[in-house]
Amino acid sequence: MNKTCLLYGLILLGSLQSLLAQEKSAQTDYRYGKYLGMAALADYQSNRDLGVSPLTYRGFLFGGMGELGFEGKRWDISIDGGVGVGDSKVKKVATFAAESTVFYYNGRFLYKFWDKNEGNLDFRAGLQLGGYSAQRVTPAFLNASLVWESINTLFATAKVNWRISHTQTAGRFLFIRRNAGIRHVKFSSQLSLPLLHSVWRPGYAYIEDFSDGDANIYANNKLDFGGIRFQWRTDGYYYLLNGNALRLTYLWDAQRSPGEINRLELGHHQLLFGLLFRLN
Amino acid sequence: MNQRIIKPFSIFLFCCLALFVFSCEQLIFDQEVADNPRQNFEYLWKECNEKYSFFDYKKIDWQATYNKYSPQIKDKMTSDELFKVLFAMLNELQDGHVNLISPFRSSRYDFDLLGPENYDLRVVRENYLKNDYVITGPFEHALVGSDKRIAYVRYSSFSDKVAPAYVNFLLSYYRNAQGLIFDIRQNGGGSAANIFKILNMMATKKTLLYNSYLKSGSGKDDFEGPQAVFVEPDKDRFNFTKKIVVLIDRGTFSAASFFALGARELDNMILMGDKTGGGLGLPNGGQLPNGWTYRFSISRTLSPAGENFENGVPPDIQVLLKKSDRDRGIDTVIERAIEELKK
Repeated sequence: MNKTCLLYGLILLGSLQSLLAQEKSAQTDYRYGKYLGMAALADYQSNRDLGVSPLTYRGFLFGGMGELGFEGKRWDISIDGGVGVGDSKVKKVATFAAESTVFYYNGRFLYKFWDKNEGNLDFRAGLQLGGYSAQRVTPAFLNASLVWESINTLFATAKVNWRISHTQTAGRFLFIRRNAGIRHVKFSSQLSLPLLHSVWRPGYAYIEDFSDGDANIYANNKLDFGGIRFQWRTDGYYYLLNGNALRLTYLWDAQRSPGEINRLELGHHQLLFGLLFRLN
Repeated sequence: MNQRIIKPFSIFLFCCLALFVFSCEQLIFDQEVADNPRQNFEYLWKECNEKYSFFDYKKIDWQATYNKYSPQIKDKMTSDELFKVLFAMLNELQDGHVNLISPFRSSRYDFDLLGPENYDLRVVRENYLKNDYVITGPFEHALVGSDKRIAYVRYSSFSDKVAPAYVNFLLSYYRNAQGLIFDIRQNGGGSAANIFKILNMMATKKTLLYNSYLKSGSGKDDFEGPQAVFVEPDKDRFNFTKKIVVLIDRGTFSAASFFALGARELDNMILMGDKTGGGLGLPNGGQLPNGWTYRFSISRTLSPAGENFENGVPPDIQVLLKKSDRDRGIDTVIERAIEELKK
């Protein structure tokens, strides 16, 4: 874990330096355009898999996300993906742990329907594809200890953007030099409600039929439609004078798979600190 | 930082906090099941009721089991008392694949005590394997019989990893023997993958071994399948043409029972000894509200003719260890197998 933290730290530091080095660029409204993002992720996960346990396992996953996006005056399009790794635990007669490796992937297509104050406040809506695939290993569950599941949702998404700008003068804040220019900040909040929610995970028996000697954990996975999923996301952007940006994101993502006996209940509280690199 | 930014940033942080606090996980997460003796009992009974695969075959009235054990659950009972009640309830399933595991004890069903003892390790070691036996991977083997013309191979656990090359070596090594005894008595099972690493080397043609059915719903007859399971001769195998006698007993369980069920279908194999301990249902795994873990059978496996041998795969030739033989250092079952292979 320490090596991973060190690696993330170095990447973050390196990226931050290159980001700040471009601060001397010309003064333009760079809030719109293509961007490439990378973010460090901390995800507090709660999961209860009623196929194997009535207990809720909780714990932190750590990882990273990458994003390629375009934000125009009308469209807001992005794809992102990443991975989180960590343990969830529950304490009962002993402490039981589940080791999770989670892959997140999303695609967002939003259109601006309304704006005010020359676009400083706008409302966008559209579709979002939200994907989540995970492998969980819980040794306490004996033959049912290994599970692979994939949760994919088509959302109807609504987003409000609030852009604020002001002219800053040259100066120095502690050891950081501040150039003169127009400083942009943006806040956005996005709510996603499910149109189509699908879950691909172990079927009724939970384990696969390994009587043929093959241990194929996907063999008894079934695709089900139904259940429910919500996603609520809030972002704060701090644009540098060259159009690159720092972004802080909080995202709540929660889902409940269809059915009763083997239902999966998942909740994620994600905190992302990202760097957005302007591509044009 | 400019006041014009600090104010909206504060609003942003407030929104994040509000989201975190009011993110309504109650919409997604049902209320936790209470951790008390009654709820643990109800949970385990219900899980078995909905998923256990042999109620009909074993003629178990699970509701009657509930009625029998439910009054024994008290609010103030200790963990040990609760464990004993749940242990007794699960033992009504008479299944070696049923266990309840707590930090202080584990339940089990003694399937191997259902029949007479049919294997004596000391007799086999002293009088058959003797001092000059060979170890190849998980197999111990030697030539036995008065004229040393019969190969004897002992495989004591399907948890011990098999490589096809080991089996090929055995068959090639004993190419001049009159036959081979493959002893899986008291073999409590392990990995099903090992069944095929062995049988693919011993089978002479592609053969249907058994059909497996996995539980697919809460109804007693809700199964999906069959998954037809075949053995297919390995193209690189040594072509061993002699008969193979597979020795089984009540301690032959789970993967070893699957092996016996498959061996029944192969023309070059004879099952000898006592019937197996069964264990032809694949066990799952799960957890109770108090954290104890459990497992029970969640599938059933039938022979190609549709027979259910969950209570034990019968031998083709029944032979029981005689006490008088055993006292003289003779394994009745091995001697009968030698006789069969010399025919």
